[in-house]
Amino acid sequence: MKKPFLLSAALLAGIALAAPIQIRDGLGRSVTVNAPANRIVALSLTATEILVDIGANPIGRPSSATHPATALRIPDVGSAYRPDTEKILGLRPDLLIGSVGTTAASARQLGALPIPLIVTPDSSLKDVYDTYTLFGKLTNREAYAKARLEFLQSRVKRVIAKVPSNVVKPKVLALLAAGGQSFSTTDETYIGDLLEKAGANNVAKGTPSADPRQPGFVVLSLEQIVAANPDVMIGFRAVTATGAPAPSPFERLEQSSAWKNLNAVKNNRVHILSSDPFVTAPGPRAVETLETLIPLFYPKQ
Amino acid sequence: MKSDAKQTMQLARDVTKSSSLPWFFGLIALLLLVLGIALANGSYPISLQTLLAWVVGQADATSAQILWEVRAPRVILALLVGSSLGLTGPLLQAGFRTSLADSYLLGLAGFAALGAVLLQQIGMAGFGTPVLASMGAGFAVWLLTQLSNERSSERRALIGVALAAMSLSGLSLLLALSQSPTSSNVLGWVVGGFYGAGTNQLWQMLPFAAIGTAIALMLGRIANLLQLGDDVAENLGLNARASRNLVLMLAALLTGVAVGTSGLMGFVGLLSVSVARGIFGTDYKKLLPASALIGGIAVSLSDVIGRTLIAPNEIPAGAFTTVLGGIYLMILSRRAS
Repeated sequence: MKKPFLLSAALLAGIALAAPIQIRDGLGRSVTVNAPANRIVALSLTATEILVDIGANPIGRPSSATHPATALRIPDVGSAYRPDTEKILGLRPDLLIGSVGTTAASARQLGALPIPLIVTPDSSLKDVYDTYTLFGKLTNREAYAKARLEFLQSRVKRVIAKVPSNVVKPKVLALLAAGGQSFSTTDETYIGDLLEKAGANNVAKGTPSADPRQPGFVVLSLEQIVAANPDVMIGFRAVTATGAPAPSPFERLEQSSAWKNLNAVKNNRVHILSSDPFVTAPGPRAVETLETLIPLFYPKQ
Repeated sequence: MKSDAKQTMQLARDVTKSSSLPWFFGLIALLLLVLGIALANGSYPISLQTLLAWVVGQADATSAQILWEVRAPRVILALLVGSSLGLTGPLLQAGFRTSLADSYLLGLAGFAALGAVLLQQIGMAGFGTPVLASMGAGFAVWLLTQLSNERSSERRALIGVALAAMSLSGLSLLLALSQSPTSSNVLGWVVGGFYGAGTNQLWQMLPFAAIGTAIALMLGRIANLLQLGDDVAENLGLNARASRNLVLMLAALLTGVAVGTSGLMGFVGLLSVSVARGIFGTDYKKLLPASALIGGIAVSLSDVIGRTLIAPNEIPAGAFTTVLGGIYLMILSRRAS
């Protein structure tokens, strides 16, 4: 009497476990994945860090993914922007995961491979939280992923509580250099989102995006910057493949005679940070990011 | 008059006939060697045994997958792009009667890239990049023929170089205007390479490359006649104007196929036709297939080196061909003076 019942229950559970999941990823692609995915190649720093955090280590990572230290033991598949397709296939993955900011450029070539590819959205802290949940589902670790997510959220909450609430927010300009130009970011990007949460008054707020396909990245002219006269300026310097120092995003601005009259320059509040993790690694290091930014905006804390 | 020309041609044919066959066999053997090297090397280690096992269908699943999905399509693509570009050398030399016989130097390649990018932006992406790029190259050919006449090949070469420069700055302008943090899209055109090449791309360009190559290889006699000058050629029964247009159209098509697939790659045409001339003389019936072979060898070799030297990172094949070709051009010009 009990046996057939148990058998069918086990069968149903088996089907549920091996059920295909249908996802619409950050690039609008419809992807079907057979969960659980056991052999995931991470193609972005975000994917690497979150997978490691929920205890589902990927079997491959981009060469620039060096956090946490345990990730270094994972085989590298080349540059995050141009991962090596042979190396990827050589690891026999059953799923590839990248993120919009990193993988959009190579998504077409990677999507042609016979392995499903998910490109997760990464334009806000909420996207990071959603990715935790998604990865938990994909790797059948929903409970543990939820626990890690709640831990992250509580740490973020604690750090944000340090932002003083009844003072004037400092005007902040954040610049990053990409492709020979300097871009600023609105709150439609991850770093813009964190700047807001860290209590900044982002001078780029409200500026229309330079390219509608990449919302949140804006170009500010020197005139606009001078008019805004930010109190704090932050430059995110790219990490180069060769390790040689990349140019500071302020390089061209510094040539101008208007530079030295900017408040931030006069008060010595121009800071250069690495784009890793602030820009290129939305993920669990959001806490570190906030802990670095808040004292730059509110130094007397 | 007629018989004199015919006699001269017969003489020329006899003089050059003697020793070409072994050279052709040599080139084919070299090509097969390079293809073998290209298949056997990559960032995923595949031994010679595995490669041979794959040929008979006995390789392990992972190696087979990599060879079928990644490496073989890429190798074939490099070969086809190289042979297409190689053919543009003799075609442009016959059609324009210039020594600067290269689709990159004469602006065809630059306009091909520009055309593809612009036409894509106005919604014609459905035609496929090889077609759009061919239209761009065709436009460059039209400009060249409009802006120069057949008499002065030097002037034509200069105008071609100007067009090439203009197209490159046009691409830079598009890059600046696109104002995107990942403008690598346009940058990817300027230095050609085969990153992420796969079967989709192969199927897209194969029909055009095949048809273009087949027709080009049949134009040996016509190209020979064009070299004699329009008057003589007409006397021998050739419609010089139509023939020239055909030759140039093919050069544009082959340029478009190559650039549309893998972006700009400099000097392949010039390199191929110069080397071919050194070995085979001036008979286009030999120059055309020889240039195709040499071009295929050059680009395949460049790609193999580029993707294994600093694996898993890649140096795009276009970087090698431009440097190699540039050096060869300098050697050539020193000899000429």
